[in-house]
Amino acid sequence: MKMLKRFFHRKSIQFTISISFTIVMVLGILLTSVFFARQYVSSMTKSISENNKRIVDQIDMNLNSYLRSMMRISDSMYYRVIKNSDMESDNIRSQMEFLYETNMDQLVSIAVFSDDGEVIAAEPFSKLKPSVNVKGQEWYKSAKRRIENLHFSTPHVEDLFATSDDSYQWVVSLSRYVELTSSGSVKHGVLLVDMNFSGIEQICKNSFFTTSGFVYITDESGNIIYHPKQRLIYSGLYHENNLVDAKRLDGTYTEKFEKQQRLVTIKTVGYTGWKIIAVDPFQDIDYMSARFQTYTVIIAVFIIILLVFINILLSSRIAKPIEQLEKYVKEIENGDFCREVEVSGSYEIEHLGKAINSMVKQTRKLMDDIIAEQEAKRRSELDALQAQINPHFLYNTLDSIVWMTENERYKDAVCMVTSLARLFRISLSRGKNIIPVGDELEHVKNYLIIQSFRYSDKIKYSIEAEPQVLNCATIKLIVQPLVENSIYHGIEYMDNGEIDIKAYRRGDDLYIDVIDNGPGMPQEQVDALLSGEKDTSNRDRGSGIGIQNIQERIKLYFGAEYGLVIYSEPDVGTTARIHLPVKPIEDFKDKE
Amino acid sequence: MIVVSFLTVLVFIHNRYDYLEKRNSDFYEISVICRGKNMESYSSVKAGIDQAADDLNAEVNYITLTKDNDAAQQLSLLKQEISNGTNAVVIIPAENVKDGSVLRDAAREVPLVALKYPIGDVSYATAISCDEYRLGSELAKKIISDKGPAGSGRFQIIRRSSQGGGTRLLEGVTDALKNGGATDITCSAAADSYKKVYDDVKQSMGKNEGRIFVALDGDSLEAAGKAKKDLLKSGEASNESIYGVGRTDANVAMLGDGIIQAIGAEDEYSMGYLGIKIAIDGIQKKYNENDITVNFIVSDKSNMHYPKNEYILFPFINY
Repeated sequence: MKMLKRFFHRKSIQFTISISFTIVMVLGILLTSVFFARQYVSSMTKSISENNKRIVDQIDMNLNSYLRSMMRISDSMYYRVIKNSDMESDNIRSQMEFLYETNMDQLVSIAVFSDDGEVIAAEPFSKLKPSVNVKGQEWYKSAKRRIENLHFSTPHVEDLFATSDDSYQWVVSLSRYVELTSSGSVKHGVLLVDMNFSGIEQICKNSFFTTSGFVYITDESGNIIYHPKQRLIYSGLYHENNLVDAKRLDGTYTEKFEKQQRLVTIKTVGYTGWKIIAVDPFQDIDYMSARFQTYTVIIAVFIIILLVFINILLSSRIAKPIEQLEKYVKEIENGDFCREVEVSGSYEIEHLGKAINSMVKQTRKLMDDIIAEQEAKRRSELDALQAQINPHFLYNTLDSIVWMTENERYKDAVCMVTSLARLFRISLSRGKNIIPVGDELEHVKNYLIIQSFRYSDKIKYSIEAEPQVLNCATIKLIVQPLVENSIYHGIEYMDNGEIDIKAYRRGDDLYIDVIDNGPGMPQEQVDALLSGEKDTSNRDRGSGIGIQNIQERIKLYFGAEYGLVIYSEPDVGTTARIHLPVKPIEDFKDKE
Repeated sequence: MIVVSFLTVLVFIHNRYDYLEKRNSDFYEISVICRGKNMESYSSVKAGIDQAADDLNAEVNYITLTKDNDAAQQLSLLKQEISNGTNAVVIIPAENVKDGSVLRDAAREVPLVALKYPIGDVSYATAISCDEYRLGSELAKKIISDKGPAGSGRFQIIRRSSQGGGTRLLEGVTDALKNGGATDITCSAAADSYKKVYDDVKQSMGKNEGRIFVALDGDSLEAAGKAKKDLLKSGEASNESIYGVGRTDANVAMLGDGIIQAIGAEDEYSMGYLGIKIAIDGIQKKYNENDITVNFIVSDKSNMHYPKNEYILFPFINY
């Protein structure tokens, strides 16, 4: 298991799917092929075995029938003729002749011999060969040895009787011990029935349906009675496993003989004890099996190749969109947020692709927004930074101080210098952008002090602040530019200009109003001021911070819901209202 | 592409198997050129050839001569069979088939197998016969075993010109007899007819000199046996003994009757069987350039029915 995990660790999805399915599939097909191949061979062997058994049974039936007919002839001869005759007085030859004539297709001869080996009667021959020793013949000895049985010999050439020509016959001799009545006394003898061996040959020949199968017959000891290649066996050109097979019990066996696997079916022939042995070399089975296995292998290989191909195709279809997504995510990891990927494939992958695209888009927008915000902040801060020390205002103020000093208005000069110092101190605020409201009001107060000196008290002002708001946070340099606007866009030309500055809290909101009684402006102008269409930065004379800058900075720091609102009525006056959230300055102390 | 390849391979394999099956079931055409006007004298050889043809899918065409032992006709028929497209030729050579060039040319074109009789040194051809020298030698030893030391015997060797292996058999007999002490060995001139042999032998036997006749071929042996049988029938005593080489039904019958004392016989069935087998091996390019020797027996009346001897002396022609 661990090895498997290690093997598949960090491999692509396509590889994992392909390999896993391929292995399972190949194993499945191999197992199935092997199983079916074995089943085929097994069922073929079984079928051949059953067929062999049928053949053997058929031969057994035919052979039994043949042998029984011989035995019937022998029985007829013995029980109907010999037993009912007196050898001395009766001539059994005519009955013997009749029996012979009736069965001459299968018989070579019938003969009765006395205990001395003399022929009593014989058909069709009558005369023994001069030098033949009947009592030395194996069939004779067998009959005398076991008198209760019928005896079947192995095939041999009949050599008892003299013939008119030089012909000879291969026979199987059936002999039995008989009791002969001669002049009333019982004597013994042997009845011999010689069967034509070709009868047995015909039963066994051409009995097989395979080209290499055959049947042979042995006696109990394994001596061959019939074999299709008997002569070759005697010549030594062919060998047979007869001695082993004859010892086996009836049934079907697999044997290996002379490097050849063979299926052997054995059946014992009833009375004789002969063995019918059917031999079917496995070469036919092996050939058919090899042919089937070849086809199976080819088909299995084809199916495997086809399935591997389909497997690769399918896994590619599954994995490719995921790989595309993965590649896309890598690009995003490397910072490329600009590309949009088109992912096709299954519904889930498509949905995932769309979701990632959307997420990237959002991220890109957020990043852009942050960049823009930061840029705006920086720009605003730059402006504000610039405004901290405005040369024009400084120049004018210093000029006023020089004039005052020259005119020995030392007290006013000190007041102006002090106010200027305080103004710049708060402007700088040690580089902080967020200062308390109290400081911002102090800043504008110092500004107004300076301006009131410069404008010879033409400007009246008041600054009111609720105590609770003094410690609230505000951006610096947002009130003074409004006051500056009030002065430079109206009040400076009036004799009784009034500027009121009020800082108050309403719930969670902080308001700082700059109210003047200047000439006011129409709404369009107000809108233009707030949108930045009109530059109110007063760069030439004032701080250089415009209305829009104030608006931008408030929104940048505190959010879009806060900012600057201007209410103005021509000929009445203008109120610029700064709207901030109520946040204690302590919240911003560590951030800056 | 895969499907096409698969189908191609399947068709190829199928055709290959069909081709192999067809090849295995195809018959090989083999011509057997006899030595005489028929195959009756070689019934055992023919039985072996027929069995082999049946076992090994061969179609055998027997070619007989118009005249016994006509070497020239045999060679002419050999050329003709080859030009007719036979796959192989099995020949029972006539005496004096010595035109090596024809045989060599034939052996280069088709597998050539010679049965029973020699054809000289022909490359690519295979000769199948028994060891005639040994056969002759064993027969002579049998004679000595039956008759006692050969020194006292009078031996007459008879043969027909159109039969018999000739030289090696004669050498085997004479060498063994001489080694056994024989001094009186007469080789009759090869007779050109059965009747000539019969007459010569009958005349010799009529002298009642106690000769031992040794026939080197089946016809001569049969003629000698017949001569003796007729003399015995006519009441003329004959104490001649007859030994010989060559199985015929008559010879075997006379062996059983005691007219012929012993017969030497080749395993002609095996000869015929192996002839076809070697021819087919040649067709299948499994060349065997070594000559092949088959068994023989020397049998007398007492052991002629032993199974080992019986199957040679009494061939079961039908199987």
